[in-house]
Amino acid sequence: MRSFLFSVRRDSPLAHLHVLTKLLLVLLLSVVIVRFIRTDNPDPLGATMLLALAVLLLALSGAMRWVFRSYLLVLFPALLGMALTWVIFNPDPGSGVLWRIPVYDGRIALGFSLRLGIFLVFAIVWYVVRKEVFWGLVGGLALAAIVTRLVGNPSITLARFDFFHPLAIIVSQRNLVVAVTKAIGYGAMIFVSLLLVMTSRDIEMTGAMRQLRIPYVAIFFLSTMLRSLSMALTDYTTIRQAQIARGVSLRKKNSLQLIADLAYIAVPLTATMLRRSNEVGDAVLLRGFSMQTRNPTEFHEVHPFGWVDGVVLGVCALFVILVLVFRLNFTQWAGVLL
Amino acid sequence: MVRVEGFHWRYPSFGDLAENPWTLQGIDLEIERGEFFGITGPSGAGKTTTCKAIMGIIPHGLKIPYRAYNHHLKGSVWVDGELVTGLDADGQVVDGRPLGALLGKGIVAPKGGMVLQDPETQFLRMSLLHEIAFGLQLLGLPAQEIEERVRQALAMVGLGDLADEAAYIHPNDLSGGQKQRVAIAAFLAMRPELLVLDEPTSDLDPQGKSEVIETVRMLHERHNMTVVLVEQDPEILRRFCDRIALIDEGRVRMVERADDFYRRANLLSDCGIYRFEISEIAAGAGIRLGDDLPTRIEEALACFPLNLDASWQPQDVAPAGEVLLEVRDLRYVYEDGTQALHGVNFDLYRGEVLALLGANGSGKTTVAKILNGIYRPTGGTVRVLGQDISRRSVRSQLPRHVGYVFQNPDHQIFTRRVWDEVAYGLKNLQVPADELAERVQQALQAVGLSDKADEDPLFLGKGQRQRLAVASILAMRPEIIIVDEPTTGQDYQMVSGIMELLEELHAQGNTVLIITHDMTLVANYCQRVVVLLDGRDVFSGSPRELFSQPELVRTTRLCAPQAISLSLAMRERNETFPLLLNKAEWLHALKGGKYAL
Repeated sequence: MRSFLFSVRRDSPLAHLHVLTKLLLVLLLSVVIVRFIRTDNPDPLGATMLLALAVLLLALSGAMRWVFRSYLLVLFPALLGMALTWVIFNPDPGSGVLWRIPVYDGRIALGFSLRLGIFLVFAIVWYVVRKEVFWGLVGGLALAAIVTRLVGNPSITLARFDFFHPLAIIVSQRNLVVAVTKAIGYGAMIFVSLLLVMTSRDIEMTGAMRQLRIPYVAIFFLSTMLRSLSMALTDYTTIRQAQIARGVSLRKKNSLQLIADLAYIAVPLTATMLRRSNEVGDAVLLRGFSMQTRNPTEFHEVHPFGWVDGVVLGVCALFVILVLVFRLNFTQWAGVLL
Repeated sequence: MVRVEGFHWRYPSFGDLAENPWTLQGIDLEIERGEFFGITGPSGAGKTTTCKAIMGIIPHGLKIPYRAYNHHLKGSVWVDGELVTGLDADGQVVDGRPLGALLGKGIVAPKGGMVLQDPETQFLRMSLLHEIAFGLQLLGLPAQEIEERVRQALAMVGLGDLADEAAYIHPNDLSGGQKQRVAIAAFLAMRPELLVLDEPTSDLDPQGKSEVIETVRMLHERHNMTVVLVEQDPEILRRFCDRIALIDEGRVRMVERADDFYRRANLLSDCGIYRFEISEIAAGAGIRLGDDLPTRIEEALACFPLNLDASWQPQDVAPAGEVLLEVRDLRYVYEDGTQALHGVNFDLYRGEVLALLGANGSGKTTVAKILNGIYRPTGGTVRVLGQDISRRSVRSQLPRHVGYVFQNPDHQIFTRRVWDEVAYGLKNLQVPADELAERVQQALQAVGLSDKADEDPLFLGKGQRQRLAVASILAMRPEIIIVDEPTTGQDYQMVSGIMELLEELHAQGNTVLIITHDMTLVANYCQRVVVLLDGRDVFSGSPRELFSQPELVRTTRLCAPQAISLSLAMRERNETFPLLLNKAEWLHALKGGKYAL
């Protein structure tokens, strides 16, 4: 069956949970994850367990296909980038340094060098000929490295002065563990949040809001917005296909050109959405809805809290207490010393 | 049941835009209780506006600037003896000037329901169960009664087997015909006395169209419901309606009983309304049935000559020449696992116009998107200009060789100036500036939009936007042009314009692949036809061969045009009667070869 934007198996464990239980589950597990990724006492095993739990629940919901399609390609590079950034900018030696790579000696030199010249010339020529920046920079760096390795790097220094302090990339056991824990933790947090987005339906949301006694006009507005969102996605797909048919992908483009291509989509998308909003407005009025609508009949929308919700929330609360109050660290508990 | 008296309506304009003209200029209509009433007319005539006025959406669902009702509204609308909209012209005096006071009960729900052209837009909930229950919930009915009414409504429209799963089915996941039936069921559940259907079947295949309207007729007969049907198709209007009104330029030009309506040939012709092919042939050949033109096959059999000059027999030209496109065992599976194509085979020759036909969901658009490089085939072979498109490098360059005009022009207009719009694709092709200007000019000329070059495409009429979409592809000079449903939801004049354009493209040597439900277009302009059924090709040949096999036409949910149906009926009486495919062939045969084919 369809959820907000994706589809989910009807018999999945999460389909039996109340949407508010799912929301609380996401919030409580996120708090636990924040504790797991603390720099002073990381718990990589705990973060991994939660990541595995979220992935398992998504798989049981039949939503992993959508996760792979929509998020994994972005998620992995983002988490890898975050881990590398942590390692580079947090030179914590901990109890043992694995690698130490000096990157800056605390002094700035102004001058010319063969390496700099090769790099600049290559990057500029590449941009003029191919209108690309990225591969110009990469190629320039590579060519400069190869040439200076073969013939040395003759240079002229015009001035030299102290600035900041020396910097080095330090890969230690400690910052490696923290970086990996943070990457896994944020990954787990995203997957846990996806549990709510991917497995909930608009009916569950409207039912929960009715239980919370939110005015029906507001509930209906949100429900229509969710409905319109899926319509807008369908329109976007068609418009993007029409753009491809007009040759938008015939040649390689830089990031700015790609953004400009996306901006062109705004014209048909806005025109289509305006037309649709008019028609949706008419459809709403024709069914008899008005701003004075107060309390329509509840009909298979409200999902009562059941014992399963109680058990899930109870286990979750216990977990939060163990981790936050009793400072349970699964990694240490398993006997792994960091 | 419905009375509209001298109703005038002018849409509000916003910002600094000039005042809109009157859309309705004195509509007078009386529709009796239990009547099946048809409305037809050209695009922009005021048909939808009239329906909205009957339902009370106009003016009660709109904001009138400064509440100046006198400036936007005149006349009155009554439904079931109750004033829906009226105007006290002397009311609401501001600064000594009366602005007019709005009278009437307003929107007629739940007594009346209105089904719009696009069912997807009018779905408000994300489950079938709640979509149908929504109006009932608003009425505050008990849950048990809602449950019963939902089941009844689904059964009424022939979707009773979906009732048990309705809570888990998204309305958008249904087929085109089912969607429209759900839209009808959503109102039926509210037990309306009046049901207005605004071109509800324009996106459906010919048989799907009949099935939906047949459902409505059954409901109308069983429950004595008053039905107002806005439609372009003369066959549907005559078959189902008691009386038909012609609306043109915001006025009712005539209201006649269905049988008499299509005999007013001159008026229909003046207003640019679809007529029966038989009437057009008879008018062209000077044949009369008494004082009238025949409209039905049975009538034509009584007045058309049974013996024609047998020396002329229409011939189909066998496809020949260079094969531009070769499709073999093409298969495609969507990401959600749906297998759309199970093995499609056909060839497309240079310079021909080929029609790709089939019911809704048979895989036509999927094939087109594969040919344009939007989808990657799951299996089989497709060669475009001899190159296998399974190679990514070939596929990525397909838009250079295969142009694709999408069904909805609103999905493919990317700029705010007509000239820029045609230039958009050329810039992507990196065409040099001087050549670009020349190509844009030529393409605009080909579609008759040269004088609109500086206008905003979003403010053009739908027919002009469709032409602009064709021009945008034409300028890219692809070897093959695919046109997806070019005539859907368009009136006779727009369709004629598109047909002329296609004819011109063909005359210029372009190779065209048309996806369509319009069988008259196929009979008039296509040399060959490929028919898909459930993702497989089940026929490939000439339109004459296709339409002369009634069983195949029926199983593939198509519908033979009247001209060839008449030929077949004639052949049952005279075996040597030629198999005449379209109006041109009929006139050629009837005039002894003196009509240009």
